[in-house]
Amino acid sequence: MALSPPMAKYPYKILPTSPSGQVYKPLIPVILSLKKTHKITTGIYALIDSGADVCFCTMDIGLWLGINFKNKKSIYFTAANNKEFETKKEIIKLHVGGKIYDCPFYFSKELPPTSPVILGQIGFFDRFKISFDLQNREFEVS
Amino acid sequence: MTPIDLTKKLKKYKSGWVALDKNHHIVAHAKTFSDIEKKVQGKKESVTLLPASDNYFGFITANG
Repeated sequence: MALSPPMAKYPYKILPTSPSGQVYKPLIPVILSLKKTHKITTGIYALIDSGADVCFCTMDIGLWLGINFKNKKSIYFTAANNKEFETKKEIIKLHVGGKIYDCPFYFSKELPPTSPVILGQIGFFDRFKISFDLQNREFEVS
Repeated sequence: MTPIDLTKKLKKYKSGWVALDKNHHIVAHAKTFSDIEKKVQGKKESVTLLPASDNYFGFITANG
């Protein structure tokens, strides 16, 4: 997947909701990689989420990258419904918006299946200026 | 900017992962992340992966 230029506008994605509605999501293509194992994912659509304190990723992708989660301590986060969920932290390479950098990700089996990669404040918003413009169905990453 | 409407394309996929080409056509589907990676490896055209579902509504943000 070609990396996006450093400053770029992206269209919102319209996704289905049950029974026949739709929802707009700010999804951006990313690549995740782990230097230790030389594993690099295909491009994945990640959710830009200003309400997330950190970046999250589903455990399946972490295992595919070859991360050894044994002996890693559990770190717990609280969802908006006040339910705690378990994560394990690993620093991986994030390829996004024309940059490649080390980014702390919190891997969990308990993320919603529809949001396997979530880009939050630490690791993403602290690297880019993000402007959401749903009225015009676009967002900008610079 | 025109949004990318994937509602019709995703209609028949209720779970697993799909691979979308640059024109946002679904070119592969698999049950797991590992399986979709296997399917798209070696494809000449670049693709982007998306979890498949018929309902993307109701996401709740998490905080520390």
